[in-house]
Amino acid sequence: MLFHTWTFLFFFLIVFGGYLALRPTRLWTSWLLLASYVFYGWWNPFYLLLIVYSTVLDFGVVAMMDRQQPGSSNRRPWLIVSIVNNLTLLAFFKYADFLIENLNALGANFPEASRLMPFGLEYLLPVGISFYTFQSLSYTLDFYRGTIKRERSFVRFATFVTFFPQLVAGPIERSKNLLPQFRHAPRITTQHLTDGLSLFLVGLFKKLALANYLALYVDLVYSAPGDHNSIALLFATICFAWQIYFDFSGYTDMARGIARMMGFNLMLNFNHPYLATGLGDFWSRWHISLSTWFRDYLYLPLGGNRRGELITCRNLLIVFLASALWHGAAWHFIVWGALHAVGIILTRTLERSTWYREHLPDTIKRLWVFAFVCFAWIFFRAETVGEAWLIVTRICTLDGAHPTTWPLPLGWLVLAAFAYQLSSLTAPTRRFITSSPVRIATATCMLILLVFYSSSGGAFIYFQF
Amino acid sequence: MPASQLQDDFHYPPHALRLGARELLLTGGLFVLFGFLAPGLWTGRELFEPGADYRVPYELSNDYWLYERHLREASKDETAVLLIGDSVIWGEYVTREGTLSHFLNEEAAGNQHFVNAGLNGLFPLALEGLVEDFTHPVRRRKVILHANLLWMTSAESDLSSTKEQVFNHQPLIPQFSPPIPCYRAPFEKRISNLANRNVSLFAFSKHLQNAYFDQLSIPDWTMERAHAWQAPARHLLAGHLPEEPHEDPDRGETSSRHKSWSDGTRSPQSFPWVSPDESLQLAAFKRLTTLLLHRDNELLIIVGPLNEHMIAEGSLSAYRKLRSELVNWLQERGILHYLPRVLPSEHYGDASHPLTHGYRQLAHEIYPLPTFQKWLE
Repeated sequence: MLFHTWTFLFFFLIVFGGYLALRPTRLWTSWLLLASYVFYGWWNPFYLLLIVYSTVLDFGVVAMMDRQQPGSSNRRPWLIVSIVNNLTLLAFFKYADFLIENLNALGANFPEASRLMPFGLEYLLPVGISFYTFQSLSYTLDFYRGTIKRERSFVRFATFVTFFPQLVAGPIERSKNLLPQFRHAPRITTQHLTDGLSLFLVGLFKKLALANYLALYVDLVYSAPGDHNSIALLFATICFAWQIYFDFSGYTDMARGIARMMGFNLMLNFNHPYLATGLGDFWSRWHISLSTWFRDYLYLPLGGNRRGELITCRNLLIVFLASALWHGAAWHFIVWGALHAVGIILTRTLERSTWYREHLPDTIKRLWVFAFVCFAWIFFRAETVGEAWLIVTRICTLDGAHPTTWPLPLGWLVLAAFAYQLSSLTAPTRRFITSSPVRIATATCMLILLVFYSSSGGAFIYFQF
Repeated sequence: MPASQLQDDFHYPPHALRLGARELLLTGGLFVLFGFLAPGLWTGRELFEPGADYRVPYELSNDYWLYERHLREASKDETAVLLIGDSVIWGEYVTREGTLSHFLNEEAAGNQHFVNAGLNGLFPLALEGLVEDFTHPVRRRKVILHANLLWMTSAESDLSSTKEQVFNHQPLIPQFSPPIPCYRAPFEKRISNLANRNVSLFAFSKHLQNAYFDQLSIPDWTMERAHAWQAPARHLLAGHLPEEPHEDPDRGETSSRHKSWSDGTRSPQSFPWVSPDESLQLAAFKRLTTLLLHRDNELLIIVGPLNEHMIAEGSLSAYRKLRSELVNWLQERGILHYLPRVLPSEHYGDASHPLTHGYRQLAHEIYPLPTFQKWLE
């Protein structure tokens, strides 16, 4: 069930109505849990088995840990059970195909070797598995560390794992933030409703009018990069940078808006990432919930930046490769992650220098960060590393052999996206943008454009992860 | 205090669009106002001059907003009589000067204006939806409704077979009730169809896509057409409502399609007619008739004439039984109806569509009828 569908509208109206009616009773969490299971089961009811398994396992693991003394080493095996189970689930559905494909490719060099799974292994990746697995895992990790108390209600915990607004594409919530919100029925004020509706409108607009439109051009060019010249490939790459931002942040906005209408606060997941003045800064603004997850549960436990420059570089490389693998089991994702890791390793000293921080104009910094991020997006978006390399070489060699076609409105759209982001930087433009008449006019135009200028489009990009 | 300055622990990116209650209400109000005004303002700007024989062009058969506009314009004429039906009324093989409404206009010699309110590709289940949602301008008007029993020749035509089928005008058929077994659209599509039918702004948006953007969404149009450099707004303002071509290679007496059904190798056929009790199309036609009566339309039903020359002997009795069932039903309710004589074989293009001479003959038969004249008064 996608947020931008009529089906979801009906679903939400029923859920919201029931939620309002049940808030004075103890049944409201059960109602939200039921709604979340219906929401998830709408894709494929069999997926529910997985999410229930993951939920029961982590709930049980923490209950077993709770039986041990705090700080006791007896807790560790239970933590390992949770980590292994969750990661195995993820690995089976996300990486088995990749592993077998690569082993088979390797085995092809040895004529006598038999092929692994010669019949092929086409798993149907359960939507959102990477998101809820990480969310559930954060609960066991936090409990192990002693930063949260054990949740004694299974219904509450299950609602935390499956909470439908953020179930399939985040934000990946921390138990510390979201779980306590299920302890008492949240207050719902007019501001919650208006904030929620505003966020939902913005998200809907980002998805239907912007991301889907950009996708038309990106898909056209990236489906046959060999047929397009350097300008088209460059423009398509810039379009993809905006497409993925609008698509993913649009989903997050809608998720936060829906939760907000019901009185819940979900974390901020995007904060104008293309205004970043450094690669580190970019990752503190892009997919914040995943970046902070890796920071807290992988980077810092590995030693963070406290154990010398070499270990820091190693940790950064591990984190970015893990992040790449989280996105998908394919070499082009790994190259994308490696590029960001190398980029950050190479620039972190520079970014801390006085010259960079105080003398280099922010515009130059933003331009270089955007250029680097776009360069890395080529590997993220292309189907294979080979295709990505073809695109890079075509762009770099200014290949003009093929005619360029790109629709003018798309060019304006990209310029408008830049202009809107930049408008937040100066006080007068910020004041203008946030003035009441401008906001009303903007929202009205968004609604009108949604009717006349939106393109039909399927799922969100991040559903595949 | 603006909403953006309210103290809250909820994190918003700087300068994000955050509306307060009053601002949201104002936004909603402005949008609704736009929804009411835009189609009207566009109507004033869009050049639409339907002549006496105007029919919605074939390419715009899915443009229900234009269809409604056509009826609204036509209903300004007090003498207007609407002919509602499928491609038999619209004129599958003929130009607009070869349709039944045209020849009735000729017979009337200006005393009445017979309006071609047919639409290509329709059938009773879709016609019901069309009348329900897009014929409001013609309440209390005289309506000639055509009953085409061709749609009951088989379970497939009747849409009562269980095998999934692709057919025209899916948005117009009942989306949920009564259930149509061969219609397997997902829930989302059905809801979307209902929204497009019931929210006039959506129908208007579809009209712009149909009429000016090659039936594509505007973003798709900017991608798929060679004139992608052109801004859609400029294209829209410079555009004209498509009209029927003067020389249509597919229609009219000079076209290769305009030939008698018996000119080829076709011979009479047996049809596995559906039973009147089980026919979805017949039930839809009855509901449609009731709806028009409830809207105080003065109704005349013309049943057929189907091309009986094309129906094999063994199949004729089933057809006549079906026709009698409909006629009895009309008689029981006192609904005025007429069964024209079967036209000569050479005047049919296929099982139900007359050719130009057929329409002329039909008009010549119907118009002078005393019952018809009395009804017109």
